[in-house]
Amino acid sequence: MTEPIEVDILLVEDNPDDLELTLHALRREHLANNIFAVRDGEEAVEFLFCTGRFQQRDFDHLPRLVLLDLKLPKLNGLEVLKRVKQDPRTKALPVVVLTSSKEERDLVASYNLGANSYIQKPVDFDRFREIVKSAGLYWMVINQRPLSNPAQASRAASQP
Amino acid sequence: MEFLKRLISSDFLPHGTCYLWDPNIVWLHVISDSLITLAYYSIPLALVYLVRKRRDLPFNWIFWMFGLFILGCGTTHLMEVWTVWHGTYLLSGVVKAFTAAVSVVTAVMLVPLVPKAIALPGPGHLQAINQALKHQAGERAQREQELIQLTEELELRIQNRTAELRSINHSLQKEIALGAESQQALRASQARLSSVIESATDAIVAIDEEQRIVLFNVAAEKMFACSAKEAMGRPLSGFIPERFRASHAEYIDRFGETGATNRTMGAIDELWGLRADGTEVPIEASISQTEAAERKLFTIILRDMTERKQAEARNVLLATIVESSGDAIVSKDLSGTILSWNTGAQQIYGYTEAEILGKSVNLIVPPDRRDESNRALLEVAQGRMVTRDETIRVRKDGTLLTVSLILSPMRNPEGQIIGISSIAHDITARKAAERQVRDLNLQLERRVRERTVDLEAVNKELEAFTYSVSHDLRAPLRHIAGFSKMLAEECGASLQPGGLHYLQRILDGTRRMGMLVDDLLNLARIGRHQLRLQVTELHSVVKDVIAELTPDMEGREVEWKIRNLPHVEGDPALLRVVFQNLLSNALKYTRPRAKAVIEVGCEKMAGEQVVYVRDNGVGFNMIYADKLFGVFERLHRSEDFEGSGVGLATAQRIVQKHGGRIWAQAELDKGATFYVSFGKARDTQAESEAAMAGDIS
Repeated sequence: MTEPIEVDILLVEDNPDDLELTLHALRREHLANNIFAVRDGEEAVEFLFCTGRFQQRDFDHLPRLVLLDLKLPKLNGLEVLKRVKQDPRTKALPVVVLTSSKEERDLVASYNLGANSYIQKPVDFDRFREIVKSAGLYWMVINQRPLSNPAQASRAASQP
Repeated sequence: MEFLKRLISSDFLPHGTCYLWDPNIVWLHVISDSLITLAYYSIPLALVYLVRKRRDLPFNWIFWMFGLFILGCGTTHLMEVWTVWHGTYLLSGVVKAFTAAVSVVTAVMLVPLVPKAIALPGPGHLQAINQALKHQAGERAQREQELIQLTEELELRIQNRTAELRSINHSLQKEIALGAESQQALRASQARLSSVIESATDAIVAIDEEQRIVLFNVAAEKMFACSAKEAMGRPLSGFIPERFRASHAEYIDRFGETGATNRTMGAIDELWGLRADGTEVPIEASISQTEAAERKLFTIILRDMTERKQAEARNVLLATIVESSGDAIVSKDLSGTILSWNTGAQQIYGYTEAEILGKSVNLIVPPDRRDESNRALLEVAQGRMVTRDETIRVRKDGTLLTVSLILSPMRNPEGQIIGISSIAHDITARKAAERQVRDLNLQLERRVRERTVDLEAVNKELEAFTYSVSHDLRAPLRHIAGFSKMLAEECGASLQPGGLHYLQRILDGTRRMGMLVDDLLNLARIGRHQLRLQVTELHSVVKDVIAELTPDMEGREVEWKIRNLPHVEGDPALLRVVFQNLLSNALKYTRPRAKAVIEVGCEKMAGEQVVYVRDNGVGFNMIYADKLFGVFERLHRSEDFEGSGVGLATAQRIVQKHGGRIWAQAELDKGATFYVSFGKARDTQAESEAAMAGDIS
């Protein structure tokens, strides 16, 4: 998948079935034009920080929302989350954990690392679609965000 | 009297008439007669005087006779004077007659006297006689001298004799006094003796030859419960039990014949006395015999042996205890020489009594313990009790053993310490057992540690497993569900009706599987959950849960009866899960009822608060009650009532985590009541550990 310049939603999902079902749900609701999926934690970090395979990417074009699975090859979801939330440039980026489990320790760790939301994927597909729809609607439509990249803004503000 | 009257009567003429009262003649007669009278009266006086003065005068009685007849003559003359004026001639005649009688007698008596008077020596003769007399007088004087001498001697002898008599008298008096004294002493001694007898602690009974009681002292009264008054005179046999009477009487008779003075009775057989109340008393008796006033007297001294018998029994018992004890009970003198050695000591130390008596206690003390032992002996000798919980002794065969020891001073009745008693308990086996227990404990601890490590590993695995289930097991289910749904939606039209039905079954299956996995994960989560106890108001918990259940009540008539509910100390989140399960069950199983009635309340049962949830649902058969709380156990078919069979297991786990209890009471088709008691709040750490262990099993 070649990445578009503007990405609305970055979907971090290693499982192809989940990927397909999630994309299906997202697209069905027409919540995003550009959805980009990465298949492991490392790829997610490279994409977001424009390194490795994605070093050509422009840091200014951060996605509007990250849907993050927790069980991922290489770097897991929590490590990705940690990096995103620790870096001032990506700190403001909304990250919604979308995962199969609702293990307490996952929940606690996610929120402690600064996750913006935590959603368990239900088994029932109808309910899954409902949830994806509401989450997309909320984060893409209802939720307000600064016009510029907060990191750029802060950088600009700090310049003399 | 007549005579006397006549005697003094003067009927006759006085004599003066005869004189013709011629004064001359009268007075001649009167004066002459008076003078004669006086003369006559004076002569007897002279004669009496002579006779009295001259005692040696022979025949002096004749002088008395002369005197008497002269006196009579004088009186006749006096009467002559009287009759001159008074005619008492009878009286004068009588006087004359008296005088005549006396004169005649005198004359007659004088006749034989005349020759004798003639024989009386004359003055010459008297001279010679005088001479002779003088000579005689000389002799007489000499004799008198001798006599005086004799008299003096006699007097001296009399004096001596008197002195002798006096001293005899004195000593006699003394003897008499002494006799009184000894009498008194005798009386005192008798009193003493009697008081000795009465105050004697031994019974003293004396009997005569007929064996009748003649003495019965106070102690005897006490011993036989019979007063002395009642006992006196009674036969002795009355105080001897029937079975001994004959032999006893014979015994005393024989004893009497032997003449021995003293003997102890019943030396061989036991003696028994019979009390007045019919009970018997063991006695010891000695008998003695004496003879008083030629009569035999037997004295029996009896001693009540009850106490001694008891003491003996006690001693026997004590000895038995000592002998039967498995402990070594040993006594020794203050220098440590062994005085007694019981069977237990023999068993423990291996020495027989004969081997060790008189030997030093050091025989059983190993050399390195002798200082300690001696110190202990010294301490006990000062009156202190010494205990050694653990010390070492040595057996005869040289092997060592561990004993616990109690040393205590032995005192004589005066309180002086005369020895040391020791009780040693062989604790070798106990020590070995203790060591074993210690070893076992150590082993156990090690095993616990190992097991803990194992368990921790298992726990980790389990956690990883549930985590993996949570993530990886659910995912394929979602995929199956998701794609089935998409297939139905997107390709439904091209599918045969049967195909659609199969798709639906797949979807149902995935949903059930999803529920099952979620419930199981919940259950596992609760196991790992740390209790966060706080006072929780059950009422609001129940209210909230009912509110959550609203969607399930759609189209149904449900009456909730919420009574007063207590505050309990518990984890609110978990308590909520309990009521979610109980209330959703109640709602579920009342579904066939036109009107469901669900009551939540609280009652006191056996002193604890029990919350109950009662419904009027389908209930269940109590024979399956034990399956109710098992994981995956279901009492209903899933076509009738859906469910995973995990809910009540979860509820039970939560309640148990709180230290409480959950149980149910139901009847098929008549509703069910679930009871929950919340035990006392316990240490949360212990709770979670218990829960962890519960998880593993």
